[in-house]
Amino acid sequence: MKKHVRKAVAVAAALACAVAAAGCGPQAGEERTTRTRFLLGTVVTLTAYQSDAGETLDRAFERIGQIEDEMSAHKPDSQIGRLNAEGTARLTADVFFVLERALNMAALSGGAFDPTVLPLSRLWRIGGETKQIKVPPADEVEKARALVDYKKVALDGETGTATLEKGMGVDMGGIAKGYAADEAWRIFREDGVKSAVLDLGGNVVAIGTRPDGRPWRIGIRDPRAQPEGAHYAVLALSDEAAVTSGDYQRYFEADGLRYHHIFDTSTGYPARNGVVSATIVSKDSTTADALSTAVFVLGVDKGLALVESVEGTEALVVTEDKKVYATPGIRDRVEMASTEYTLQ
Amino acid sequence: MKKGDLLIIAILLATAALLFLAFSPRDAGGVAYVVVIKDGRQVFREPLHGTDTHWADAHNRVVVRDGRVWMEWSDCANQVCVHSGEIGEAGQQIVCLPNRVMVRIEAANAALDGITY
Amino acid sequence: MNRVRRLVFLSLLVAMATAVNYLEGLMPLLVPAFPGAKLGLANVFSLFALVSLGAADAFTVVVVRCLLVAAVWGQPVSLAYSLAGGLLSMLAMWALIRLFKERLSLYGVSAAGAFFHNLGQLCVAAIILQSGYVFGYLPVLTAVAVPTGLFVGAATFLVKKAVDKTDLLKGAKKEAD
Repeated sequence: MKKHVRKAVAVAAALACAVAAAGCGPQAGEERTTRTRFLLGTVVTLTAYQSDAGETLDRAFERIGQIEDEMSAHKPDSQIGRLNAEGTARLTADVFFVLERALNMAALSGGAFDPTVLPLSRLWRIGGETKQIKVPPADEVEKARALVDYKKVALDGETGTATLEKGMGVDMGGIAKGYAADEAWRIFREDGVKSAVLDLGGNVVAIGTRPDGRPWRIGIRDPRAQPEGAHYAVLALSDEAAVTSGDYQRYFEADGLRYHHIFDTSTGYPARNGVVSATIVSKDSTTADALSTAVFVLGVDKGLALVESVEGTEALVVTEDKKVYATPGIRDRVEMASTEYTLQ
Repeated sequence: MKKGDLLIIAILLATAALLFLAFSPRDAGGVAYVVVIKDGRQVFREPLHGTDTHWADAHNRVVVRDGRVWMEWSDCANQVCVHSGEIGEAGQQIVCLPNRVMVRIEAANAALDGITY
Repeated sequence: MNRVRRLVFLSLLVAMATAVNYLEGLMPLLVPAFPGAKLGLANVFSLFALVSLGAADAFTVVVVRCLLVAAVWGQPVSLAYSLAGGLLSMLAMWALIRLFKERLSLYGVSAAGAFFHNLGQLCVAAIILQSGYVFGYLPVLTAVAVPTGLFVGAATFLVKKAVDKTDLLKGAKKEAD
């Protein structure tokens, strides 16, 4: 009799431990595969919310690396590098496609976004190797600005050739990350990954929903908060991309003024219209990337109007006085997270 | 009381102190939200200091008023949730185990899946 | 100690534990907003069984008491809850006594038991609510385990002292598993 009781005790004890362990262990659904690499000049973190996605991540990183190799203006043997050096080049289908998209977005935004902005980026040398600390002289700014004009790029669809006028240069910085994100998204989708978050240097793609079915919670960086990383709002996203352009990403300060990297192509100087951050939400990260620059440059009224004319896109724009303007389609998915900012 | 007893007590108190530190709400720095989770799924999320509101289903009723939250009514047998009183700070919670309902106050900074910048 | 006598004694312990459990539920909350934090007086009887009769009997008292309370007053949920706490707690106390008999008295054992009781209950709550957030209660419950555990230890000590003076448990097998 004693032996049986002992056995029963052992079983009960084991059961208790199992229950305790189950409750105390990781909650169901927290499996994920995540990896981080330094690509496109920034930190890229891809996270699939399932346990066996290693191959998918590898392929996605490979593709992103490929895009960087083909489209970086800073690599002399990339296709874009050669285009800039020689004034004309034969492009592969995907690079041609992205350049074409960029030029279309330029036309759509009336030049607020313009991929031919290389002369200006070079002049202001923001984000380059040496930190620019001086404001370039006005005549040099004007010379560079005159070389910026998307209308002067000739594309030949049959041969896949692009041609620039003398002195011009293409800088895909404002759209390449978006395209890379879309490509990574495509790879994840092809591999059947239902739940994932892609982060390409702040360019976010929220695939599907969280494993428990709730939308992803994606914060928007507070443009003025120290320390970095604080956010002013949270977006509820599913199967959407979010891209932000801000004056805090790359800049230098001189005489109390901040010189950031988003140029107003009509003046040649960094855009100064009161906007400090513009976030675009869209089903297509390439569009979102280009639009975020365009909206930043256009300012609140023209910027929001542009977004509302593009289907499937929403925007949030933050001004210096900490006011947040949003398009109607996103308002009910925005949760303000900081009492300093007010949603208009 | 023997030496071993004191050791156990010391360990427990130290553990409690450590846990208090570990679990103390981080600088919330923002808007607090009332969240109701039923059967593991979030079914309600409203600002704590917004307009007065409530959440209810066939088994429970949660009220949010003047920055306080309480379980106004429940059909559970032990009524423990109803007797839990009011909560009003991030990190606090009221639980109705029989109906699998959890009411929490969360700082908005909680649980982000990513940040766009 | 013959079987009948033992059976009767155990039944008495279970009955008393059940009654005390109920009475405790009528008291106001020890910790605001967390109903699980009770004094745990019902554990006096299972702890007493552990030190006077043996582990098997102690576990029996725990399990039967939980079943009885759930059958008469509770719902299926509370059964899982109390069983997890009671079993984990008894397991811990048994282990402590077996390993450190000379260096521990009822006080320390009981305090540890109180902690594991709370831990077991939290784990079950976490499973049922499918949320790790309940562990937010852990700091408070750990701290509370000390005074309540000591109190239960003291009560058990007094009970044991009194019973040892009688010959109620004559021939009962001492803790010898």
